Amino acid sequence: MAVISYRKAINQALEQEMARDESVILMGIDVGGGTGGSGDVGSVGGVMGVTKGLYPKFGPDRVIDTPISESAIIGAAAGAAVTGMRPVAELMFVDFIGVCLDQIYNQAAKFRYMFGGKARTPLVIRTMGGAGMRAGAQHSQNLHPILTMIPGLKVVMPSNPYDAKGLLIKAIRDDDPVVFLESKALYDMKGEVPEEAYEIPFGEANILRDGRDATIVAFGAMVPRAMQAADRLAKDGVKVTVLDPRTTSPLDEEAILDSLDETGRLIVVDESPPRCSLAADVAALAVSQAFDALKAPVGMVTCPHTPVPFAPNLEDAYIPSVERIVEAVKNTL
Amino acid sequence: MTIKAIRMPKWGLAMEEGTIIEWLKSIGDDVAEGDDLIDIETTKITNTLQATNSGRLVRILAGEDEVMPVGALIGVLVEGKASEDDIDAFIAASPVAVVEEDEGEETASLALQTVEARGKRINVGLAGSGPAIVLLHGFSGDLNNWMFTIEDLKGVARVIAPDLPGHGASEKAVGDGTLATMAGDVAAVLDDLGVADAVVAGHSLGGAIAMQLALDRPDLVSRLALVCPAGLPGGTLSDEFLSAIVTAEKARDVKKALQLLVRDPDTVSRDMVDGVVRMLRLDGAQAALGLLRERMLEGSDMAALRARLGELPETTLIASHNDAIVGAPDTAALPPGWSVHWLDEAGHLPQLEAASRVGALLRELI
Repeated sequence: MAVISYRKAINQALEQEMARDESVILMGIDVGGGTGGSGDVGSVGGVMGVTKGLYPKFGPDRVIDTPISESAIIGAAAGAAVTGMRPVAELMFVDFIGVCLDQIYNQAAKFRYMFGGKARTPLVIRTMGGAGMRAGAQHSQNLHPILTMIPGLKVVMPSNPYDAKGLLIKAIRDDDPVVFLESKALYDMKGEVPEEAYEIPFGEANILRDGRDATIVAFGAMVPRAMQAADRLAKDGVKVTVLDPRTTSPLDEEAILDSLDETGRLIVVDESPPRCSLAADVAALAVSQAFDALKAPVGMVTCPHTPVPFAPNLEDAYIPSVERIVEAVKNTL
Repeated sequence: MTIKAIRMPKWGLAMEEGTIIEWLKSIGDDVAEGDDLIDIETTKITNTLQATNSGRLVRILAGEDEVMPVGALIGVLVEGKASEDDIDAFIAASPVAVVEEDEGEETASLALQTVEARGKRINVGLAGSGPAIVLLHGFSGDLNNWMFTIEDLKGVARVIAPDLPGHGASEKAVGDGTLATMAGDVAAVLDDLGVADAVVAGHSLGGAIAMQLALDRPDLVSRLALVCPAGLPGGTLSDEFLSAIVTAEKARDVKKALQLLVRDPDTVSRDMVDGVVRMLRLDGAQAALGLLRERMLEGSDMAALRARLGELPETTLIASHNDAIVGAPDTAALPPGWSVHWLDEAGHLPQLEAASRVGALLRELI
């Protein structure tokens, strides 16, 4: 099986779905790429090169370079979706979602509900988040908690190339608005990915490792860190389960509670500030639904309640580290 | 006096380490070649390592629950008498890890090749050289179902293990889904690979396809080995399994279905489930399996096969009374001369559950 990067897996999903279904279109800033620059049109493919090669293949009608106006991109995409297209709109950084929240939570996420189930909004918003790129406080956030709390939106956080492709194909074929949150830190991660198209259902956690001592729930770029922590813990004889929910909405509560039933200890790793985070959300799930199973307080490994620092040493300290995950697990034992 | 190493085996392409589950012999026990020695768990499955030498077990170097890399020294056997010093010297001089004696071949143990068979893209696993043996997996399986068998056979035969149409990394189109079509595709693969004459082993649905191939292309098939085949007289067909696979949405649905296949449900590892889940999620895979299921339940292909069993070449049958999928065939209704082996320690997957016995039986046919 081919080993490809997370970036390439996303590119492959877009290319295959565009080839399969003419109603799939891309729109965003520089998704064609290279316009006005030194290279040919299509030579860049977005700020991270994810859509590279799609403009030459599908042309300007289906790969639409937009003005730098996030509210226009998402508004136009939501409108296109209700008229029967399947737009994949790109927001360069999730940090920019603020100016188009009305289009997302008041419009796209409400159409099906407000029109009595008769409106479909097959909109995908691709965007990226996460710290570690030295990009400053306005280009490094993870805003999945804000999006996860909105009824009518589905929120996806792929943690590896295989999941990125299958979850994006599922997002494109889904009839509801989906926010697809890519992790900047993972674009170069490699893994086995089938060349054929495949769907991964929403709301099904991936269990990467089984262990009876504790359950680590981790999201997006925190999943590989949780796996590294699990390797270190194994050397000390501590065996942990690592569970990646894959989607924060819907959330596979059943898998988390089943695992907690077996281990009795829960550690949630979430790259976001602690208040109203997914860590707080999953901890609340555990204490409200599985209190009797808990053998120790739930561990929450999050960022501090601060903006993402620009100083590299502080930025590195801001992101939950492998050491902190190991320590949090040991604190529950 | 001879001192012999017991090493962590390499079962299948992906195995890098194994966990010792249980030593089935104790220090001081006499061990004969072929005796069950250790239960070892890999990420794929738990299997029993059998002794490749005879002798007295004098050292156990990796205890229960210990994880050891492939090739690591895990125990020592002595034939005759040896002093403690001799044994210590042997252990000290022993390389940390040895990947089997035929290391050169090991690195290229399974080559994957894509064959165009009647316009269909078929993924084929190839290993070893010598007389050809073809391994056909069953419904919703893939060539990895034979991972232990391939290891056992590649030293003595040219092993050809395709992913059947609709399965694994092969094209998902299965045409009309009849046994004749599936057997025709396998014949086209063998023609493309220049195989003129082979032992053909088939498991479950693959067993029925093997029989069909022997009837349609008798020139290709010199002997048959049927492992828990579908379609024999007295057998059954569990639609509980077939329909669970065709309709499965989540990994836990697939796990429940796969547990029907084996005698001990704990045999089904997360890797095994993940492999099948990944295959089922490919576009068109469940639709193809749905068509194959309908053909099997409709039953006319299998009935036609049963009417012609007497025309088959020399046949070895491996079956289990604990097979919950195709049941136990009525051996009295089989043609005379079939060699029948009951592997009741297994369920429907003896090539994984009783791998070394299946490997040994198939080696005898080469």
